[in-house]
Amino acid sequence: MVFNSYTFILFLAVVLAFYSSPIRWKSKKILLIGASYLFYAAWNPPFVILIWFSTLVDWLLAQRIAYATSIRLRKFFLICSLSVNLGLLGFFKYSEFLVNSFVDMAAMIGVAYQPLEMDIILPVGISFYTFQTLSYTLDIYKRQMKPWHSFTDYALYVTFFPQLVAGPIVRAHDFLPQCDTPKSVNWSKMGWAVSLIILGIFQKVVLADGLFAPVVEKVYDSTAIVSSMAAAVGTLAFAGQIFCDFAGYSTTAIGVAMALGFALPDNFRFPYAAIGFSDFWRRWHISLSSWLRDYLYISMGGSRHGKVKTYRNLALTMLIGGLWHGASWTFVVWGGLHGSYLVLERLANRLMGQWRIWKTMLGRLFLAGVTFGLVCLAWVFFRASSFDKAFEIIQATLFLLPYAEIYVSRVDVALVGVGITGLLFMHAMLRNTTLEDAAAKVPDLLKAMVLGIMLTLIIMSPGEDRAFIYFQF
Amino acid sequence: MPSFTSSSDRAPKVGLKTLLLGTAMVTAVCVGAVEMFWRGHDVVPSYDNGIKSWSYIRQKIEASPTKQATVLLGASRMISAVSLAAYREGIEFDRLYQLSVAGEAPLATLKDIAEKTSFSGVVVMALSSHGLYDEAWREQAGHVDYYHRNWGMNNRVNFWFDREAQSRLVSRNPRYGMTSVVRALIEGDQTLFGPAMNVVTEERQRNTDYSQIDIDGYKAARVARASKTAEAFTPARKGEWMANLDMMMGYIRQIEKRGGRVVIVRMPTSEGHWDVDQKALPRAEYWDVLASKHADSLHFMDIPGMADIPLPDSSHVGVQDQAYFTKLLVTAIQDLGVYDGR
Repeated sequence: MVFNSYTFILFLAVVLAFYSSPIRWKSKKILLIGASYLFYAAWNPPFVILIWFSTLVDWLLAQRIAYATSIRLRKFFLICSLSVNLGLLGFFKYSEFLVNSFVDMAAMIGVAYQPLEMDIILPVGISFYTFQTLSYTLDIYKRQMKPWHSFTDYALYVTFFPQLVAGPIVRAHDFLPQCDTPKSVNWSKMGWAVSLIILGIFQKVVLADGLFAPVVEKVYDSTAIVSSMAAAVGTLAFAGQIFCDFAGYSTTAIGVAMALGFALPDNFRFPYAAIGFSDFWRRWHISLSSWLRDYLYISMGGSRHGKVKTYRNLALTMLIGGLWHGASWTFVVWGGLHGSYLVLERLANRLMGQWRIWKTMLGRLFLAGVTFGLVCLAWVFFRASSFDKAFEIIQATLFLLPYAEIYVSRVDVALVGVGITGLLFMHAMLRNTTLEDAAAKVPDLLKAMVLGIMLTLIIMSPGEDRAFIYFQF
Repeated sequence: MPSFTSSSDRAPKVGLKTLLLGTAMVTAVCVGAVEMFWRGHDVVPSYDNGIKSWSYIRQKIEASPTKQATVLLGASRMISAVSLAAYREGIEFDRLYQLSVAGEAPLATLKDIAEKTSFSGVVVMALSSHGLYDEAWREQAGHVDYYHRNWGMNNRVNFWFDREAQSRLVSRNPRYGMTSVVRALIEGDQTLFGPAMNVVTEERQRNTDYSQIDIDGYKAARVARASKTAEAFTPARKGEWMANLDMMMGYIRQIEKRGGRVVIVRMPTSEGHWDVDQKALPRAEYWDVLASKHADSLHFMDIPGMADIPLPDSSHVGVQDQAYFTKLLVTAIQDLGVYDGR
């Protein structure tokens, strides 16, 4: 079930109706768990069993880790948890990738190997809920939290439908304590929750799907050679599409959770106004970057063992982050590019960080421009279906291709230009504030007008249903 | 920076009543104004003829194992030529399903009906000779695949709501969506701001009114495109064509074994399109070969009166002639004895 569907509106209305009835808190939690399984089963019912399995295994192993009598046993149970979770993720997400990579390598040495067709269906959201359950066992292993006292709460933590399939990735120590306090439909925050839901769906339906996606598909899904203008506009359009698509999902998820009385973490803070890549990753997919930082980067030693190891850890973390997104070498390159950006930024900071120019408006604008440009370069690998396509887009952008077969129209250029300029302007304006603080300064009536216009544009944006991009991860 | 920032903690106070009432009023006024604008330009609501409406009709076939059901397969010629009301009147059975897909040959759907259903009614399949090359099997495969993989309860409920909205609002038609309108405004395309050339009904019948457009330019562009496409159909591919004919006959036999009948119809074309077709795939070398293998075949040239029906773009029947065309078609099909004893 997707947020931008009539089914979801109906589903949410029914859940809210039951949730606001005077039933016990435990019953409400069970209601939410049931609703979450129903929400997930709308895609592929059998995969609910996978969530049950993952929930049960991590719940039991976390108890074992916490009450193990020796360090070896603690480690053993942790390895069991990691093996089960990463094993499932590996099977469903990376089996075909590994087999195909093996076939390619064999072909390079002249061996023609034809494996059996696997045809494995990727369960929606498996990367998200796997990271969530893993964070629970890892936190317990690191003694940062004790095993939670209620299995119901834990099951709700794993399956909470607003963020089940595409995040934000919630940590157990942030979510589980919220389950202790009885909640009902939060009428005092419902106004803001409704605003976030409309804003999120507007981002997805009107901006990501309506404005940017058609141009992206024209450029990136074409097998013919694209023109320089088409390549540049297509990549800018993808920068707009992926932000509006993913931030739209997160914003709606936060709004829906808020309506149920739960708080979810921010996932985006105007990332295209980032100055530098450390800043970018504090603003883009925050729940993933903080997960990778806490459980991977710091676990590998972080910045505690000298510069070279710090750079290695950064690069490795980003490479794994890239692979988390998708089972393809293009995602690895995307992660590798971001890892290199972070390393180069640290080196540059040591050499030139003290220069006064970086404190001036012009210097900051230059850095923000460079950051955005390099982020777009990395997006090419994220979106392209193959290295050939990625290199073709880059070559076309740099005027290195002698001819072209695919062009974008003046209208495409105008629409993407207006859309991306508007997005960058908004990010720049709100860079040092929050959406909440900005909204607090606007009168309710004006908010209603803006939301009314957004809703009108949502209604006026029929067309192909495009799944949220991050569902595939 | 903390790893967790509760966005809920910072939620600004927003008056729910003001917000909901205000938003609803602004939306109602804006949507109302847009609808009035379109209605003022004689634009009426139309259904989206996409993959979901196809799946909706395909699902009905699942529930219609009766011998009295008829399924129409083909591409845009079939969608725009047949009046479902006139067809029903002719055969006196209600169960009639339009499963054609514009721009796509119907082989994948025929295969699907043969293999994945217990359908034992009548299949009327519009097929031109160029619909029997390897690529034709892939053309409606996307629809078939979507139906089997995605057409669950969630999509069905969603489709029902969407259909209700499409029946009431012009704005829910992709042609009049925000992006299309902005594009038309920038490009100075005035054809959008008048009655639509195509109106699709709930049952996927397309009513095309060619009087709305510059027909000469439109026809020339379509014939040029058909001519370019026909370049791929070389005599060297005759073997591939014959193999696909045999494969298609296999699926037809599967349906016939269950008591069903499959009628293959060569839909009318005139001047430009007919010349292109004849040049690439002469009737004697292709269609007549097909007809010799399958007795239930109808060529428009052999149906009295059908070749005289005006085809404004030389390829499709306009809404004005739908009922007449359908009457001729139904009579010809009945003459084959297809509906006898059903």
